Amino acid sequence: MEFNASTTNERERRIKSVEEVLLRIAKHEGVVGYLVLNPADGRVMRYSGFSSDERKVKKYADKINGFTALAASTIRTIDWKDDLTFLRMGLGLTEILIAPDVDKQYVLIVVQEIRS
Amino acid sequence: MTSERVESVLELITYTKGVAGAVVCNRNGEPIRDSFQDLDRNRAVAYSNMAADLARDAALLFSADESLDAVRVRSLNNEIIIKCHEEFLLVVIQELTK
Repeated sequence: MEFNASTTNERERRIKSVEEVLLRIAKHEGVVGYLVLNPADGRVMRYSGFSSDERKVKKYADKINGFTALAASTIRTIDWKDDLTFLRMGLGLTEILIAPDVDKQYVLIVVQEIRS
Repeated sequence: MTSERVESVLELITYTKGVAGAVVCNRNGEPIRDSFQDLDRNRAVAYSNMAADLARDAALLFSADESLDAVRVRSLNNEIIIKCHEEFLLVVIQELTK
């Protein structure tokens, strides 16, 4: 792959737009935090919020990576051509939104509190 | 809730636009009542097992004060909504229009 000036600019533009999307998510009312996981090994690639409590972030990462894998597995059990695209869990006053990447390169997880 | 009320709610869910069917099962994944329009019992069993697996896994993962109320699983073709109760699970399968 050739790296010329326009390729570099394109990459920087994409990174900037991803940053903007993540910032918008983090600022949304009720959002406790988000994390981006590598589904292959459960490593946290990036996170924001959660009062910067890394233990809490790790807790969510471990639990949700396994649950997401199970959900994807049950879907393929029912129809092998089908695939998981989104997951939403209600846990008391907390809601966890899980969006796996189409190419399985990352999983975006948003945790928000429900206000009634 | 009387059994008539349960039946009428299930019927209402089943005949909602886009809904392929609904199943009530116990926590072990045994279907108690299903109402697929295509009358496919195998699908009811498959979705009951799926719901039981997810509910069981969530119960192990999260602490007592964070018990699973509901989970929505969206795939390429369907959205499966699982509502959890102490003894029973309600599973609703919606088809997605593209």
